[in-house]
Amino acid sequence: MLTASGLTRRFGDRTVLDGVDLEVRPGRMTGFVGANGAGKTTTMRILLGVLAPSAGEVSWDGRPVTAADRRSFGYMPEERGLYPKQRVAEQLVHFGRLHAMGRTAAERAVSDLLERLDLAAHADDKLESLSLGNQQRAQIAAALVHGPTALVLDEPFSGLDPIAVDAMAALLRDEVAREVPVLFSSHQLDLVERLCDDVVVLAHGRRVAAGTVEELRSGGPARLRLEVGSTATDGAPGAVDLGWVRDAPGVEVADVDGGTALFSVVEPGAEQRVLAEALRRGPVRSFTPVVPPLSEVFREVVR
Amino acid sequence: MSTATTSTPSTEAPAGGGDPAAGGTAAWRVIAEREVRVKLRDKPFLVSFAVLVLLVVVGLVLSAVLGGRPSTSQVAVLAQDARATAVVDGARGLLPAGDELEVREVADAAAAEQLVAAGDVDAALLPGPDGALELVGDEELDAELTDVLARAAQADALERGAQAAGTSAEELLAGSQLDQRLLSPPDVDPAVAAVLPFTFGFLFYVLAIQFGMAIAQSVVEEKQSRVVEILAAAVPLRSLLVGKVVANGALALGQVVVLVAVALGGLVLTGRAEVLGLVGAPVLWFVLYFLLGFTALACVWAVAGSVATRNEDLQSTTAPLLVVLLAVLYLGIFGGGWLLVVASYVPVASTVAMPARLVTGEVAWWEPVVSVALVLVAAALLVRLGASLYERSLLRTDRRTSVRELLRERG
Repeated sequence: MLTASGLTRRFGDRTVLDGVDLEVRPGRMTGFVGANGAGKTTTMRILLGVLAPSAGEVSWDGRPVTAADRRSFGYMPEERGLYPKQRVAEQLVHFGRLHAMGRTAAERAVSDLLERLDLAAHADDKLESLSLGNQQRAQIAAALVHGPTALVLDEPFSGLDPIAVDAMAALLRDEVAREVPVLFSSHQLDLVERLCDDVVVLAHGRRVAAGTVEELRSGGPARLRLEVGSTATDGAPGAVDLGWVRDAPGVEVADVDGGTALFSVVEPGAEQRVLAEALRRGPVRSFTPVVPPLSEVFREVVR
Repeated sequence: MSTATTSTPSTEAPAGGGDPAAGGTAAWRVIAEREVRVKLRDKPFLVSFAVLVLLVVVGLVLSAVLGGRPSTSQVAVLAQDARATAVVDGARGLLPAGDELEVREVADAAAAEQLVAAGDVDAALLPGPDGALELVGDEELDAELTDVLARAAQADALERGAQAAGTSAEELLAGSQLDQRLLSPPDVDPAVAAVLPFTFGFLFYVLAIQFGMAIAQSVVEEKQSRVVEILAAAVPLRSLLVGKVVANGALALGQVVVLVAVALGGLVLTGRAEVLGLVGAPVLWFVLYFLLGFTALACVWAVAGSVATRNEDLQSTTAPLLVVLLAVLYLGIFGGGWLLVVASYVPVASTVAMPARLVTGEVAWWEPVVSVALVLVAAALLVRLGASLYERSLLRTDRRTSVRELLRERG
């Protein structure tokens, strides 16, 4: 397990990270979200030892992380880059060896990995001659070549087309299946919601939320959706107006659109009164609790 | 893309990650291996090496051909002119060993001038007005030939006059000769003493710049391509620096050793093995000094690379280093006297200055030892300072950093 506690980083008199705690559990995918400048990249660079924290500590399996531990991690930095003039397979072997693999083991791993990534045909091409998509694959290969014990990826999905996104997601699931802790940052919250088990939210250098996706979503504002009006009578739900819900006591309306209203309950029991009133006025088509999507939770917590 | 995990190489990676005993190689060696491999495949690098070797070979051949070849001059004289013949005979004795002077007898002055004009002889020695001799050349006269003939003509005239007075030139000139004695004769041929310091200066200048630049470029290339972030995450920056310095230092030293071997081997092959005894020790000292001088500057080159963000920045960030090396080169060429003595103790400058002093042989045994110790201290300090500046500036990819700024935020 990769953990960080109280990570703080100052650049001059500017504090970009302020006591951030983080837990990346093995066999689980952890999403790292936050607005631009929230401190995600700084946190990841500290996890990998590229940057030293002003305060706080990074631990691996419950003890302070060592250079040797980090040599076995995999990292895909925000700013992509490999050796442009070196052949793909050759430089991947180089990275494998930098990550403490023997030469033959690295060569075997690279040829397997290139096969998996559909890059085998380009093994002996110079990196700069590859298409952008293939360069992206080579980049992820550089992070995976040594079978990392932990994986930290900064915006791995940015700039990928939908098919490449699926391929990347499958790769990350493979790593999770090996019981590897995987942490990735992303602005695509739907993707985080779909892929991740755990989520950590940063805002202005502070951790503002953390937990499983379900926990976060259920922790968001509990809302109810009320739909009235019968398609059988006049076929136009808009003909019915739910404007009266705005004046109902004990609830707070988020949105009213003709025969549909979205509201949260301020005073327990108030929702029953709203339902009774709606039934008194006419047929009710649905009355359901709404779990907010992660994007809404995100907007709520970073505000 | 299957979810099969059997193809992942996790089982082959040592669990701890950095244990070289578990199959991995120490990080700095992996880095150094890559540097060397890339360099050995680099065409400009191979060409410049070939050119240097070629220069040494050409220098050896030229010096053998020009320096060692005996010259033969031909002078035309009139067949009946006994005096001219006697002067040429006398001149023959004044020539440096190995040089020849041949006489071509002709019937008359016109025939002699014809030979001169045709270039068949170097000059004609003809009777001139008032009983003097006249040396006739075509476009110009060889200075050495003119000199020996003039001296021979004087001696001939003196001998004649002496005999007329009933004595001999020998008696007249008795006690007039000027003997020479040097209190400290140089052990070395002055030509060698002049050429060697220049060669040391030139070699150090060319190779230190070539491989220093290679370090700076390799650093900035990794910065520019952003690959440095992955490298920094995988291995300590110190390993990265050590790998680069070791690789380029080894390549530079390798070149020096090859060039020196070619030069010394060439001297033996061209039959000048005796020079070897004179230059052998200074040359070996030079190889040692080269290694130390290069090491002292190596990390500074790395800093010059790490404060740049693009290849273009190197022109200005490496400028101070180029100035230092140029000064060292000029010292090797023009340095002398107390300046050279002082320079032979100044680290980096001593790379050229001390071997240059060693060529002249006027150096006490302890002098190079002290000087080497000073370089070692300087190298240790510069390497530490360079390494820490390098580590602080390497990961700033956004803009050029100034060394002053780095020093200020020390700690």
